[in-house]
Amino acid sequence: MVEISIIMPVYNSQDHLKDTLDYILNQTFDDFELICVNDGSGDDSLEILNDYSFKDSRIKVFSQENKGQGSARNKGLEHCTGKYVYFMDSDDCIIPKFLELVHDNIKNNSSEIVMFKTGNIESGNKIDTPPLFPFDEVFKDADFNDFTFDYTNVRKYVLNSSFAPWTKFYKKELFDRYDDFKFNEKLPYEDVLFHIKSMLRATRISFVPEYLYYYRIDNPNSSSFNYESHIKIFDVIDEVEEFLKKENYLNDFEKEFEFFKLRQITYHMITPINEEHFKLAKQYLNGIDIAKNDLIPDYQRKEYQIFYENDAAKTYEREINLYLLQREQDELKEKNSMLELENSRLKHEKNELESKKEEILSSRSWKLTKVFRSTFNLFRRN
Amino acid sequence: MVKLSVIVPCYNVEKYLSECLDSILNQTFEDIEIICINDGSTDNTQDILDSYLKKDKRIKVISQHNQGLSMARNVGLKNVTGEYVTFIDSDDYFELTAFEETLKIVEEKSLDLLIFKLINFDADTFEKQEKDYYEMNCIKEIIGDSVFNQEDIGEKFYYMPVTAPGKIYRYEMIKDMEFPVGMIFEDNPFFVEVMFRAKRAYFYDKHLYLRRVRFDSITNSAYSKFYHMIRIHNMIIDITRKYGYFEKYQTRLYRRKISQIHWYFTLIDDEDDKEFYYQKMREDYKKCDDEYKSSEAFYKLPRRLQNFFNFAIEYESHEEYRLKTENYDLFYSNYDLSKENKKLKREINALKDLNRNLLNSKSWKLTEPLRKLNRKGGSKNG
Repeated sequence: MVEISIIMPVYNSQDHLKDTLDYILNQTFDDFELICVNDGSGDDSLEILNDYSFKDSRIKVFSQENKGQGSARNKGLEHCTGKYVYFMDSDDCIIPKFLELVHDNIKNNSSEIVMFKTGNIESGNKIDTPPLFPFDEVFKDADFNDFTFDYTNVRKYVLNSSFAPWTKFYKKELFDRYDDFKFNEKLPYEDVLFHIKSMLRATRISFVPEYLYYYRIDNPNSSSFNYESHIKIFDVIDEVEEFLKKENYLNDFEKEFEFFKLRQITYHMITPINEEHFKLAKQYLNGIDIAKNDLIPDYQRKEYQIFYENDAAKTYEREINLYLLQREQDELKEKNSMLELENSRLKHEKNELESKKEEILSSRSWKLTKVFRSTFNLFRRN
Repeated sequence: MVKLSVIVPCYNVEKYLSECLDSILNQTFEDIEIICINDGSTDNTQDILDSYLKKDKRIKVISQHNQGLSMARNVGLKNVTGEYVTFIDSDDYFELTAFEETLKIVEEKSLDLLIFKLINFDADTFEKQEKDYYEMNCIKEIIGDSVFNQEDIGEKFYYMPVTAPGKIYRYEMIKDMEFPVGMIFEDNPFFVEVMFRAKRAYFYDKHLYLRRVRFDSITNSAYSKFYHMIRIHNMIIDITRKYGYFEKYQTRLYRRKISQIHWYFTLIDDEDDKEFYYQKMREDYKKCDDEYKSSEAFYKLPRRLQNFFNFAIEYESHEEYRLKTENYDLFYSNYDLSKENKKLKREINALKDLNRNLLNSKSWKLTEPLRKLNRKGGSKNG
């Protein structure tokens, strides 16, 4: 039995798959199995997986017809034998010490989930962007080698933050205590409920305050959903509500759930918005008093206000576009002023240094010692 | 048959007409006819014309109800009996040797077209101002002092000054041509066609025509007619196609069209005018979408113009288009500034190092006593 199982769904990933597999094989901690589930790829992904698997027995390859990431991860869960589980995406990057650090941390803290800081990869460059889970800022003076928390300390990260599976390193035993730790195979956005369950059920969560994972943001092949998927968000919301109700969290998380609905529904209303989708949105968001919900940041409250002020999809679409564009312009102009200021400051500084240089080089001291320098240089060259 | 016909469309120019006509009648070259078209003036223009009619047999006066500049010029053209033609706007005037100088060259070199230079002067201050447009600097480099035709210049010819005045035309070449009636920018398509027809053209690098720049003249106040620019560009494309040069100049034509149409959009302040202009622009782009997108030429356009074209098709309102295009330019301006700032920082660091090395060098240290002495003595240059 291995220590860690890494589960990786693979779908048409030939562009970056080799790099990702290399990141895993180059881990300083080597007691792991890598379970790759090929989800009906049409490119060279399977060939690459088989190739690597032939060279390294830690890699196990399963294939299925295309059923989606949820199904692929579930298959991985069915076949994993490790004490710890990690879900990885096939085009992202982990640092060489990733497994070592999260493994140490989960053992030291006897925790069920370890989280960590994540950045982005853009045009091949790793960037330490503001992390999705900035727990080092939430728990400012904590010694993370000896520190655990649970959802009660990080309420806003249960329903109102990223749901990505690769943000968590799990103890398998957490899944085994429940019979419903599976990804929904019939709906998109299957990671939403899985994340919520994870955060609510883990009694001990710990954190590594370092950037361990980098998410590729400019991959045109990454699972981009089509129009039909976006309208399924309402089903996902129903599913989440049902779960929260059944497990008696709904009352406690009323405001968070409101904000969750607002965020998810507006985010998934992509243009062109059809009237049916808009009507559903109105229905689901009916009765929320956005002024009273203090979880909503001001700039987002304005967006939601526009939603409530408009009765038709077309007018909402126009108004929200205008608002977002204007806001974007304000940000760009502010950045522009900053850059202009910096630019003139830098030019001034450069000029001053140039003058200083000229002052030295045109000084009598310098001219006087020219002979000395030429002889010295001659000496050196010989 | 006279040598030169001068066409003078007149509309409410009682203030400047005499100066204009005098500059023609007093030309050193006398074998001319002057065709004045009173385009339905409501001031004393007709009276002034009548008095000139009595003074000089070379003047012809045609009166019509107001139909616009194009129509007036077209009527003038139909009444030409001379071998060559030139146009003048009735608030401008010629240098007195203009005809003598230009016709000498026209005859010597058997030209179809001679282009000379305009210079602007302010109606109030009389201050003269050269305009790059008329100076033809980049084209001058190519043709120099030779007789040329459109092929010698290639696609740069679309940047030549299109004004109807400022040229001597061989009448046979243009006698069946017309200015597009009821439109502004009317000289654009006329000039493009002239350039395709002219087998022997020449540029005379001298200011012979003085153009009065008034605050209220047509080009300054026609915002509500700017949308004519869209049709004008399509006409230019059609003319280019008619003479068989469409494929050769396709990218340049698209480039000029999209960038000029965008430029004029940004000039309009009035929201209603802007919206109207935008809808016309959008209508045209949607019509051309399939044709442009299936051409190689479109994809050779600068990315910015390709994007602006697509924005216009995507966004329903002019505000969205305006914000989107402004944000695009702001974004890239920020990007360029950011790059420049990085470069400046590197240069500053290099200079700091250099200066530090200079000040730490043996040469500098050796001469410290000398500088000390100078400082005591009050000398500036150590």
